[in-house]
Amino acid sequence: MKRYLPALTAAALSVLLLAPVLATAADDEAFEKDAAYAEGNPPMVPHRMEPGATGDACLACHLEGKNGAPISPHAVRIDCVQCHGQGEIKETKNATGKKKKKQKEIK
Amino acid sequence: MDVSRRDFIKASAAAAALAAATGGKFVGSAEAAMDTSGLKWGKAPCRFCGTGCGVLVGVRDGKIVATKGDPQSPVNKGLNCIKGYFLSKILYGKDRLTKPLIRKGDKMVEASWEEAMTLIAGKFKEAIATYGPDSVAIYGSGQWTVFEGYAASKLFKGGIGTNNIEPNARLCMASAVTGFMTTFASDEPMGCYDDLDQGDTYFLWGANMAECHPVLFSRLIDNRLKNPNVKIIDFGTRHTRTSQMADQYIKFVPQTDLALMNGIAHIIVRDKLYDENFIKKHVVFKKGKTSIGYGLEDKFTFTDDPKPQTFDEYKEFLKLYTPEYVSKLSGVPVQTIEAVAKLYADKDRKVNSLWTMGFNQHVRGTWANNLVYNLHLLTGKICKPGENPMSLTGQPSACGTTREVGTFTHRLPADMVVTNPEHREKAAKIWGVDPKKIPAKPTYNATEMFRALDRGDIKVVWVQVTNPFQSLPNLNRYRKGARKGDGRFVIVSDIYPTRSTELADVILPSASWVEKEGVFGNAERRTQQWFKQVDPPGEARNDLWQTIELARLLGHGNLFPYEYVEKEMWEEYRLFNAGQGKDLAPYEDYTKSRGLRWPVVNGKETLYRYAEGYDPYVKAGEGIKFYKNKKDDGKAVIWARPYEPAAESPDKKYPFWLCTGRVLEHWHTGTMTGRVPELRRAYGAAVCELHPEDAKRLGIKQGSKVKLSSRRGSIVLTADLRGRGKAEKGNVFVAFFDENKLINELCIDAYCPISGEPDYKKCAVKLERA
Repeated sequence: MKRYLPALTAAALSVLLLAPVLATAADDEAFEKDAAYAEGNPPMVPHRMEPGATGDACLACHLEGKNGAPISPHAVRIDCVQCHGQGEIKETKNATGKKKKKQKEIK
Repeated sequence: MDVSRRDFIKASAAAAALAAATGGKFVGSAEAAMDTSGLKWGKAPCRFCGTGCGVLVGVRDGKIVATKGDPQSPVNKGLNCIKGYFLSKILYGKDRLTKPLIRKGDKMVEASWEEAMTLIAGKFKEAIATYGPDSVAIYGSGQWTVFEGYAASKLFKGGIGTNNIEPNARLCMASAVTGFMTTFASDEPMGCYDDLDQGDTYFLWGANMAECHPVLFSRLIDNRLKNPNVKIIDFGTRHTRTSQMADQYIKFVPQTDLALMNGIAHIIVRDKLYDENFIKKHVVFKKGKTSIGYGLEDKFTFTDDPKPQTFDEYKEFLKLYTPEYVSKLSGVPVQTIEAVAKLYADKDRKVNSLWTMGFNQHVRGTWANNLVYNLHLLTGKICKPGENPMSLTGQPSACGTTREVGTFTHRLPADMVVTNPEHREKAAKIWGVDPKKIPAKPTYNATEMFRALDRGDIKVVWVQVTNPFQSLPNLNRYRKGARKGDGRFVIVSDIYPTRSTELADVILPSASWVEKEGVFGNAERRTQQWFKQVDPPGEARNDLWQTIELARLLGHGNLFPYEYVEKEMWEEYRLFNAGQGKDLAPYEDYTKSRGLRWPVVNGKETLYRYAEGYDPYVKAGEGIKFYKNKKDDGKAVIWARPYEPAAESPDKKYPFWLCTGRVLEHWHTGTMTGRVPELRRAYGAAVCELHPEDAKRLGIKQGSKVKLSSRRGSIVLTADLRGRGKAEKGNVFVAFFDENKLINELCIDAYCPISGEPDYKKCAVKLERA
């Protein structure tokens, strides 16, 4: 689990930032302000995913940025596929910038 | 789960320092590159499911260009599911309906609103004059706004004088309603979503929350991450994403949930694990009729005959359900049943039960709801923060509109029914009509309504905000019935061409979501309002306007004497609820808040119904009081409800169970989500999930075509042996969103005799290589 620490830290930070917003009745005209700090829409996944992919599978790379994977800003949200769906699968470059011939199945 | 609480806390402590040092690139937001300056932002509840997530809607030049999860919404706290993130695209499919269309032979021809509405009104008048008011009908949905549902009910029950009004919620939530009514004498939950954060033991009964209520499931998962004591136990007939993330998955044979719940009660009673004090103070025992049928015959009727019981008689009833007997029926090991019963009864555990269509779409749906309440009433784990039974809903206003306004044939607003003369009197008084106008007899439940159209007893039916000719069971019969001619006239209001508009005589183009002002009510009694934020395209118009226009043309315009229609209608509707434990706030309060949970008394919402200190109707010293159940002295009912088999079980000829349901990316019949390219790409077509061993035996491989047939229909699908959902042996699963694969043609139109809700989860099918 140690290997997860750094990115978990980032994740925890983002969660902490979001934590104090719980309110029942909001200041009614503050929608613009709310929208400014609301998270944007999540990107779709540009590589193949196993149908049974869970947080463990995704975070194996996205927690620390292994294999050139972007680091998740909220690794405590572990039902990743709830928001990130299967996107268009493009030919990808690997970490060294070399084009991969075939998209490897990510499990 | 790898990410433990300890790691989470450690990580939090070092957050600031390390965040800067990681140096890795973060996943960028898809919207980050988009210029969001100059957008006008407003709020709305999400258009899709019954969770009722808050979203912020960003508008530029009269078009929705962005939506975001509303961080101020207590429901979702800024999170959405993948469907919610694409809300900005659901209204802008290329084939949006923008003009009324009238059938001329095989062609649909553009017409003016005046022409279309005059034709519709003429058909209504003709049918009413020739065959009486029960020859016309309206079929709406849990996606109706409160106003649309209220206007339809007022016009049909109070104006035209027929109880021919039904919502598609009959196919979805009706068993939950009859469950609540028979156990507590008032619809809708005592608890709220706060229970998802505060409890520690969650039993999911046939609910694939990870796909169907993802945001609520995330609240559960968050809770577990913070509290290592949290256990999520998934009872199911299919291994889903939910099962995968649960602490324990317990598979059972379809229909035997009834036996399992009685088996759990058996152990609780056998080992005296019940809360005797709670039972003495708050519970009565009853039994009803048994062998109650399946509603398969046209004009089926059923009336239960409740009889009081003693606790001892109930114990006697439970004797049959020994762990051994239940294990034999359900396939669940004896020791698992014993362990689950002990968890339910554990005094140190805050227990919640969650369910949705697995219980409700069930030929004994009402019983299934009663039986889960039994477990909470036996153990006294109810009406307390963090421990409650919670019925989840599937549509954004199944609660707010169909259940609270009462847009069912037998219901009136605020839990009232047409069969009660006092209730009719009250409704007539508020509506300003003669009480004799509201018929005392209910007519058809949803299935029976379309049977009546098929037979020709109903001549004119208006469908609003739903897609029955994809979503009804035994679809072939009802699709053919709609086009039998002979005076039948079908009107469909929608925003896109659907499998229902293709059978219509008139198609009306509607406004949707933030193209109109509205109110929805979600599954935790939260009422949420939004304003119109963009104009509908072309000549599309609000369904509310459409209904009121019909009223005007039929001479019932006086029923809708409003200037600011929504606000004035709300204040009128509120009169039904005031003082009934269902109080709603003035309209302004909702415009300013992110929703309020009723009853709202003196501006204060209610988190826990029937509980002192929360519910203003419970007096000091009463503790818990089920005050709506006056005839049982404010007590709730534990029902003796037996296990009875499904309407159709697998046999030699049709050896598989067929279960249908949803997938994460698509909502209902896919008419909106199917028009979002990203969602279509993520999940394009319905497949047939089956077990690899069954597949091997039949010579079926991953990706091969299989012909799936029941006694009612047959379709060809692609086999999926290793999808996100995994079928158990002898079971297959097919999602119902796909308009090109009408799986409901195979479903049986058997329904729960008490609720009238069909069973989409169980019928017998066979599989062949195609």
